[in-house]
Amino acid sequence: MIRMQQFTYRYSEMARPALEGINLVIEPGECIGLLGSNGAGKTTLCYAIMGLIPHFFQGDLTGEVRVNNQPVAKMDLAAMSRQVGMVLQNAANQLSGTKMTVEEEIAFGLENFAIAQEEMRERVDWALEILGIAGIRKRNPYQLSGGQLQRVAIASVLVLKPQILLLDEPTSQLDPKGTEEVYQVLRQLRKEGITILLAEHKVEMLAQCCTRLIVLNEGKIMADASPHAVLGHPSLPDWGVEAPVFTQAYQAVVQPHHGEKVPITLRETIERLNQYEQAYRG
Amino acid sequence: MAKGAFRLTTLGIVMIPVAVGINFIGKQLANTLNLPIWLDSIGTILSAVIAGPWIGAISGFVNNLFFGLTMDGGLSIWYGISSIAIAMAAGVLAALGWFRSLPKAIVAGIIVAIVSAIVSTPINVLLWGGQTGKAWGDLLFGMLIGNGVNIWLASFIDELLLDLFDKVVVAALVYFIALGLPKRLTQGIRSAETAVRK
Amino acid sequence: MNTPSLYREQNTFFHKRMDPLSKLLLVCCLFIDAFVVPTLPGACLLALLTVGLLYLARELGRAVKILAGCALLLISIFLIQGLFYQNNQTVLLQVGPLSFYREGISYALKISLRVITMIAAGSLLVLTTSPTDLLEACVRRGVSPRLAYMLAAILQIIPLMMRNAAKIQEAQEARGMAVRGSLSTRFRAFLPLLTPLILSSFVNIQERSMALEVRGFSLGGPRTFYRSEPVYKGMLPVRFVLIGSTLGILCWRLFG
Repeated sequence: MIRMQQFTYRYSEMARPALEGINLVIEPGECIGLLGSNGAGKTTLCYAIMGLIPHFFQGDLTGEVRVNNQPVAKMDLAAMSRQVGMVLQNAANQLSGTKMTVEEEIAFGLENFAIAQEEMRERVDWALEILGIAGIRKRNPYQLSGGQLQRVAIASVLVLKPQILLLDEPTSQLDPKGTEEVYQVLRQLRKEGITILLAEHKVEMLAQCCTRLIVLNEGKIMADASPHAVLGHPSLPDWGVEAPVFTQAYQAVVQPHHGEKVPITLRETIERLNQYEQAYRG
Repeated sequence: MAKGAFRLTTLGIVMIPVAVGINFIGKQLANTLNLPIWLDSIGTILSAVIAGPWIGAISGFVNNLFFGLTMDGGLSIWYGISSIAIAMAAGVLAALGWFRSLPKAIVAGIIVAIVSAIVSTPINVLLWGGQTGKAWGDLLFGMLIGNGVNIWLASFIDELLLDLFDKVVVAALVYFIALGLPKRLTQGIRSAETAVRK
Repeated sequence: MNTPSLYREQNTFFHKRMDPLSKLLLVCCLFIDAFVVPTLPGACLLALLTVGLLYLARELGRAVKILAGCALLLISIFLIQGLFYQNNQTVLLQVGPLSFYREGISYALKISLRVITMIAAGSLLVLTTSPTDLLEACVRRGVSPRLAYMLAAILQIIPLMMRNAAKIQEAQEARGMAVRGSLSTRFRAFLPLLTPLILSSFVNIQERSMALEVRGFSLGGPRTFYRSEPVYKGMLPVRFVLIGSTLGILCWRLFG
């Protein structure tokens, strides 16, 4: 469980706080989408939960973050990483850069934690399996496609068996195929009971897989509710977030006449439009 | 946790391979562009200027250890001592403000070249009987010892001549490159390193 | 270019049955021998022995290529020392106005044999040992994982930077930058090629170190290894022989 209380943070070289007065509770098993324009504070929020703030970055901090009821500020980063895993924005930077094969790269963290070899092998196999990359275990990590690389990055964090996984724009550099690969993995991880916090620009993907959406704007939480409530909110564009195009189209054309809640996935939209069309014919 | 007075931060450890990579690329580029100098210490001097003499020294040492172990059958390892000296000199000069303007950086380059020549000369004498392997420097070396100049002095002049040209260009390049690096990063590296040393 | 390593897999004693650390010991011993071996015939023998080892490792051809890199330097040593060596007295050869002296040539011979022995020895290690194997063997014996990290990271970072450098060069040439021409043109091409590369590599440093931190890199404690340690048989006597023979040569030098 993650609990943030009145959390405010300013990077030492910045004039304004990157996050301001954040109050947030995340329960185990939730899958939360984090929305907001660039610079809204999404990455900073991930850093704060991971403990990179205050352990890696210097700056002014007030308030508190607790993970599993322990204050993050008092735990060291290595201990944190057994509970929270973070996949950085640029997957290539997630790699240690010292291993010549995918499986050894994934095992890097386990080696540091001195996990016994037998268990290490089991965990690596498990991670390879769950991410669907067992077929490339002997390849050089620097010769993979974007989607493969991103999955190796996730696996390298997942082998430490964190209960919480933070992903910072995991698909920003991927084509649609790579994006789909990553989201398939995320759906699988949800089944494993892992809590997921996902910073992302691709709203339609979030709408499909999240149970809750949080919108950040200029370091403050603007909305924190169900995907339907957030994506149907009239002030969404003011927060620097755009609803999926079909949601916008629906809002513009259909919603003024039928004041019910808007569809947020393509399938939902098609179903709804079909209903109206049949009602219109009948 | 710190055992000695100095402990490398992760940031420093990650920077060093990048510095070595820059050295290598600089050397390759100098080769492809057919330039008459080495330009193989840009990364080392850059890291010394940004992160201080210690990080610089380690990247110099690691640089030569790496190329000795992978490329040239160990020859580079001997010159690791020169790389360390170059980095220390550049790091201390940078801390004293000698990389803050172009003219100053050029003077710093001259000093670094002198340090480099002092340290490299014994290695040249030990390994090669005093030569450097660059034709125009060695021609001068031959003429000098032919005229009865002491082999150490002749070797020093040979090396210094090449180093002066090389290190002044490198120092100027480092000055321009350091200007272009994001402040957030350079400050981060510097403060992390000083925080650890306290 | 995959990794900047000259190692190539082969099936010889040196590639398969000698462990990396023994090879490292062999190289160190040969380095010491090269410096202390007292007489010219001794030095000659040592160089021949080292080259013989390369032959056994089936890497003589590629080692000669490494040696060829210094060929010009070695030839120039013979020229310069033969002509100008300080203790030159006895003329060995007269070519027109140039006289080559016996003392200089023998000094040049001594230097060349030493350098050849050292390069051959170093090449023996470099050509027959995978750098990652060598590093892992060192870490198992207590070498700092941080030092090993730096060396191993270079292996991956150099091909990455080379690829980026090629991309940047293409882009700059497409924008009309001249990379051929006079010396000053070529010098002016250097900075626009190098600066973007350095900037992009530096920007990634921060993220990379965060990723290492959260993967337990800073934990100073004991660590385990994903790969099982390869077993090598009969290396102890080999190491004894190496150390013994080096001590022998040292005694020859001191008391011979």
